[in-house]
Amino acid sequence: LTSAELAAMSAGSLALAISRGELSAGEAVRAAIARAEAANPYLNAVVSIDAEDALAAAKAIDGRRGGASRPLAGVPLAHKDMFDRVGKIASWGAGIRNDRPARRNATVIDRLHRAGAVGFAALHMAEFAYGMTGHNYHLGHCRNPHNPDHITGGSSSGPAAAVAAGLTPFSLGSDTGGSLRMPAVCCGIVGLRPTWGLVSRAGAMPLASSLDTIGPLARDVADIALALSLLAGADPADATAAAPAADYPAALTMPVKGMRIGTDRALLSAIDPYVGGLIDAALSALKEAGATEVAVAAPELSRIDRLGRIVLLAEASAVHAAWMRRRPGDYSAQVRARLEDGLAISAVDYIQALRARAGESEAVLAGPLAAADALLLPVLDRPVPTIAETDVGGGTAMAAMLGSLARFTRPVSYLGLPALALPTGKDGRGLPNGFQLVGRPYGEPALLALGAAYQRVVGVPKPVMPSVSGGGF
Amino acid sequence: VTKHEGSAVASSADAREITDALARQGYCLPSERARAVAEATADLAGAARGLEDGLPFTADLFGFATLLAAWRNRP
Repeated sequence: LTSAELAAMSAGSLALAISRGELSAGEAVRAAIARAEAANPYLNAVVSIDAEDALAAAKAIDGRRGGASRPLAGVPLAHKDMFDRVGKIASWGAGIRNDRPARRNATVIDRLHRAGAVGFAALHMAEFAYGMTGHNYHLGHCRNPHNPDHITGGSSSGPAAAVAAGLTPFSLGSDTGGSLRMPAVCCGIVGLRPTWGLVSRAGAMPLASSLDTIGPLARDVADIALALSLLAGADPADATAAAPAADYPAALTMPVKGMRIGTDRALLSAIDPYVGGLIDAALSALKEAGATEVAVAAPELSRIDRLGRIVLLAEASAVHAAWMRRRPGDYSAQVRARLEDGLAISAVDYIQALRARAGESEAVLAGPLAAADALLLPVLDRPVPTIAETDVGGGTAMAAMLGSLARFTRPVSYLGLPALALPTGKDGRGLPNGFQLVGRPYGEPALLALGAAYQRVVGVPKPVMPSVSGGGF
Repeated sequence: VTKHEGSAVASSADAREITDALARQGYCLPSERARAVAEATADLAGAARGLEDGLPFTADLFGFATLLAAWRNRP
């Protein structure tokens, strides 16, 4: 198998090849490290590579050949640098960080390790996961593999760029207000924001606990299902993670004929027409796969977004309260400005926003999500912007820019619903875009069924080789 | 901190109150930042205030977790 062939393989097919002896774990890990080292000058997606630990883990797996095979035995993976890993200090994409190495792994990291995965790198992220674009003034900005002048989306910038470029078959990120879905769409891959509480956040960097979720990014929907089957389920270390996991891989072959996708044509016609056309083409592919379009009235997203912002701003500022008093100068201007906004939210306003949450979610479940099995919404209302045009710092343009970028993702976070971001075709500049399918609580199987059926029609995205001035790797 | 009824316009008095309120919590903001914070949060305060009449008295901040729990075992 060549390096390019390895980069194009899903986690499931890599695990199968390793279990059959067609490839050793050591070979897979060495190839992943080499590709990450070659790509990083173009992408700036990798914060650190743990070659020694990864190769030792791979060697141990190769030495245990013949035993019961584990679902990810020997598969090299890299994740957003926000998860506790024993003996390591995660950067959180920030100039301020925990000063002590983690004494235990984050639950999600532990679950992947137990499945045999080999972690080999920590990946780029927005500072404290508090940014939608992939800008980072501490680590340098992450670059989109499709075009390095354009944003990767954030906050899970490194995972999206790395998956799109074939550095890792899937990667874990987080989504508080769109941080999995936005980079998935900007980099042309798949991202799942699970139902709030389905996946444990224990040992993950918090941003706003009422909204935070951990989820996978991948090129192949099958890898999203595989990852979720290992990640989901109750965790005594996170009281909010109390739901049992379902058989997500089985959902990939669920028939989608007759499944209803709700669209609000007035809403879709109000976004950039070119992006609207890409989403239209994607909808046609879903219908070709057997799904049915039904007209629904989307909820009032701008009002829901304001409630979600109250929760996000207040909770994030509570997490950062001590550092904001002692080290305000160690935050970038944009993150500090957002944290200052949160300090001025009153306790009563915050509680009102939380009190309203169940009713807002119930209204959507009794409305559009009663008439449809999934609600189709854009993620980004325009073509993927450049790094320069979204470099607004912490000034007055910041709120407007963030508000317009997040207007379709943050409301879904407030509602607590699962959402699968899928890529559309590319625009005239060769950049991808995408859309999200929003489901009912714990409705991930239906979303995965639709996503898999969609990819059977349009195909799984191939890794993108980043290149500069005709070069490449 | 002064709150507005759905208005995104903050006055200089609001900025002063924001500065004072944050100073009581141990945060120091220059007046131009206080004005920007007042503008950003006035709109959100309006959204929260707009809920007050429509929210059932029994709605509490745990209602959302209860709603999700009810959906866990649905087929």
